[in-house]
Amino acid sequence: MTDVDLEQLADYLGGALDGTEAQHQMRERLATDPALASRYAELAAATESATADLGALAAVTEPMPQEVTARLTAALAALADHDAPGRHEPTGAGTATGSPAPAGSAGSTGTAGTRPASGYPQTGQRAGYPQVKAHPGTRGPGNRRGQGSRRGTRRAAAIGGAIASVCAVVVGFSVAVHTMSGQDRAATSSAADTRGSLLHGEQPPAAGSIGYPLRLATGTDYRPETLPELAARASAGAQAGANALDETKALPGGGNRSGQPSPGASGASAGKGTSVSGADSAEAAGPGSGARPGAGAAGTPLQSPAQVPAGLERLSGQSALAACLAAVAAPHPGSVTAVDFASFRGNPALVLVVESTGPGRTVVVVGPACGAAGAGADERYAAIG
Amino acid sequence: MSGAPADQDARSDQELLAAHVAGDTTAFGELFERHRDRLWALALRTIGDREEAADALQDALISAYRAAARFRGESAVGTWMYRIVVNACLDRMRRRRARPTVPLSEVEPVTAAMAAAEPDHDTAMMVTAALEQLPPEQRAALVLVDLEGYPVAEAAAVLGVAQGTVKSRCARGRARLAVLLGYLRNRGDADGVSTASRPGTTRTEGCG
Repeated sequence: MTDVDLEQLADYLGGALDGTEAQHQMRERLATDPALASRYAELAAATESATADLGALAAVTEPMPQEVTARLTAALAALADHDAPGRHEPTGAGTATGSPAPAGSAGSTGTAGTRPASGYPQTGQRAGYPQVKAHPGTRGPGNRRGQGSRRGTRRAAAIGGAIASVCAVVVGFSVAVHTMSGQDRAATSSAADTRGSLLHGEQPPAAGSIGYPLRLATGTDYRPETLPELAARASAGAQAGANALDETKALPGGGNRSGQPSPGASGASAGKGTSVSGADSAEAAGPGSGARPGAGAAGTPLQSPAQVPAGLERLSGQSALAACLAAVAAPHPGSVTAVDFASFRGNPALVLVVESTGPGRTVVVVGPACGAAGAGADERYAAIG
Repeated sequence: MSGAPADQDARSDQELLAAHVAGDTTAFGELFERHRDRLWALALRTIGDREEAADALQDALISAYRAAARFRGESAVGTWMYRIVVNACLDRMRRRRARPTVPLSEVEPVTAAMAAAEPDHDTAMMVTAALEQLPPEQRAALVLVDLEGYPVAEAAAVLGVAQGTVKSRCARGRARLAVLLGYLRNRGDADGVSTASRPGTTRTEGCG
């Protein structure tokens, strides 16, 4: 008895050979080969037992855990929010956000949690965290625009309903990372051809809306005194790092962009009007629509996981990184504007620039265990600067 | 802002998907709500790890969200969603599965190790551990058919393969499971030497 025979017997038993010549041959073999027939009987009995065990497992059901539901709901909400057109109808006279979300007014709306980013107009567009914004009462029908519209303006009340803001923040970022790293290779292969629509959605993200941190993997071995370099880079929005992974080619958008090559992080100051439109997408109706006053610097460096320094591979995964950022946010609240897969004093480390919700910024160095269960942020160093 | 509750949506799955494509930002969330627990069960059982299951689901939902316009209605919306989820799981499983599939004749039961490691183990735990030893394709098929109760035809639609292939994967998966669970002794060492090392034997799925 061999593998092949056992598997053929299994096929025969399971009906996979029904109607084929192989079925006929197997039937003949079983009729003439007692050893095979005996083996077949054993297999049938054992399969029955295994199937019964599977039945026992099938009876153990578990609904989706609440935290997973929250995470996925928030991810969808962020996606809906990002895709939603007309969120920032240029009605405001030069304001970055026509309807600043009520900073800190948690629970003031029926939609997903908000971060009070727009309370800081100078830094709002640096939002390292995608904010699931609420625009209570400001979205009349007039906000619906035909131009470039794929999504209605109704925020995902259904899917954003009860998500705590911290969850939305973390998961939203996860979506961003996910999108960057091109991992949605699931069945539909939708990622490659539609990534642009998420990253450079039809709507220029206005200040305080979804943004992405500058994501680098310079491999730099930082020391305390060199940490400000990353902060400066994040601040300048430059990606001068020689080994930066960024692929700015992913930022088409022609004349809509304000020349500044840097995506993500800090980018334009409020009101400057950086506008990244989805001109790469056939769905984008009007590449010239970038004249809106949204101030978001969008666009996201894409990352090649292969360039992540050894020891940090885990953190290159979207959820791991999102968990890490959440862990970092606990002691260092604010928006992460840059993430560098690098090292610190010779050890693999993720270096993050956190723009505080108040004035100032912090450079935080975390180890490979950042965000892992029980590890917290695995913080190695932090410096104001 | 519409305050309409989303949990009472009377629209069909297909109508919801169409509404989503047309710009209704609540529609996809409703679809997710509707299929949520089944999607979770499918992902968790297929991939066997909660974190990975959540990651795979997120991948899948984002893909589905954005690929909705390409849904042609050739299958039920649920089937389409499950397919995306299963593929996202398989994708992850293949990526992390560095070692090749052990030939069936060399499979060792997991029961003894399990009993040593988990004195209080129950059947479900043992079957779960055994399932993790199956090749991803066999496992996905078994999860769909034997755990989730899909008819073979629907499992075939979800997996995107012929029904005979589903039957074969299930049958071989059960046989492997039977060995892993100690119900079937392996005689591969008796006379299977010549074929035990034959590559690809466990991946031969063709069945007419």
